[in-house]
Amino acid sequence: MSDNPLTIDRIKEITRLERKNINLLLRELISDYEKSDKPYKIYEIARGYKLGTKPQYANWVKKISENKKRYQISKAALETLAIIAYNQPVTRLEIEKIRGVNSSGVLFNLLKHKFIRISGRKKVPGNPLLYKVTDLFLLHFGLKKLSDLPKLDEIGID
Amino acid sequence: MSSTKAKFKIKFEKFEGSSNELVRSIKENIIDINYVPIVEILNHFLEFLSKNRGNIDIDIASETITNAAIILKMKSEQLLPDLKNKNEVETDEEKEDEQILDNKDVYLKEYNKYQKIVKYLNQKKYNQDDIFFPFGKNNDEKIDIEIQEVDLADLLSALEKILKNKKKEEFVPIKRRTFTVATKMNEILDILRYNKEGISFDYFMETAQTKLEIIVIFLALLELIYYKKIVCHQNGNFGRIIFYLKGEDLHSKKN
Repeated sequence: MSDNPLTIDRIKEITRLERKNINLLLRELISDYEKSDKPYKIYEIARGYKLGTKPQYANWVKKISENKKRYQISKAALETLAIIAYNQPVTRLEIEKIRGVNSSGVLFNLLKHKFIRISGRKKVPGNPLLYKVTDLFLLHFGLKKLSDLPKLDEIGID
Repeated sequence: MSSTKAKFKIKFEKFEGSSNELVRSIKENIIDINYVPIVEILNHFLEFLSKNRGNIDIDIASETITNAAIILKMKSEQLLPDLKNKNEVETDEEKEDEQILDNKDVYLKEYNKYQKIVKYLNQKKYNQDDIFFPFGKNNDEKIDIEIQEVDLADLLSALEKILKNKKKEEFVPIKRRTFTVATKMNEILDILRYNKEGISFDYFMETAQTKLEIIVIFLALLELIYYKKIVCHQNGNFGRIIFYLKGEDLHSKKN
């Protein structure tokens, strides 16, 4: 039981099984849990696998876990996250060019809540910091991996 | 208008006549204005005035002054940059405006795309909010103390909290600053040497009396981390941040 999703590599390390076998077993486990009456199942999320509650039981779980304070994410934060996710690594200036407004406050908050991280510096005058999204971002938004995000061109055509 | 009064006549290399005639000639391009020696003409005029004092034809004299002023104006206008260039600059600005409008369209399109992404993400989050994942440790259980790596964001959050609380500064008499980053660094190292089990971030901040001291202590901590003299760990999410001398943290390895 760890915080981070269990990756196939890690499973391989622990069980020393072949990747093919691991995948087969995982598929079996996932479908077993899905079919069962148990209130939890295995999710493929954030580049790994995690045990989580089924959405049908959400109301019950909410009653039990009073600790969970879901961070209310603002529109500005979502915009910034979207820009970073599609353009990473990206500097603050590049983000502000698209948004048209100052983003330093938003970036600080996103860093604080670990939705983004500093991935390095850009090799241009000023050496500005570069930002990328974290696995926590993937987890929070139910994404398996970054490439699961819809393509920018596709989403333009509505 | 008595004919005995002296009438001033302009005379120089290319011209002879009254000042009215001179101005007319210049305007009709018979004489190039660059060849009109205005200084010479005016000097003659002044000589004429002093020689013929009391006997000057005032009308002619005032005409001469007016025309001299006109010639001066025409000459100075020659010195200004060509008006034609000014017009060219204006059309360039128009072009720039068009370009900006085009760019604006592009920017708006990009921005709108991201708005759609925002809607998409919101929907995903809404779905994901119904799924709960267990955390590795429970806040209530004190059996396993999970230590995690502290990053800059955590330190900044802690500092932010401290500074907020110290907002109301009591009046402290101004005295010479007795501490620098260097002295604080040594102080911190001493404290950590005597307290091998580690000292918390809060403890260091409580010793500070002013906001300035808080910042200096924070900088000292960062410098010590940079020089690898100390390390810091955090007890789980939003737990206390503890500092140790480097090498002393052997007993607090991750379970």
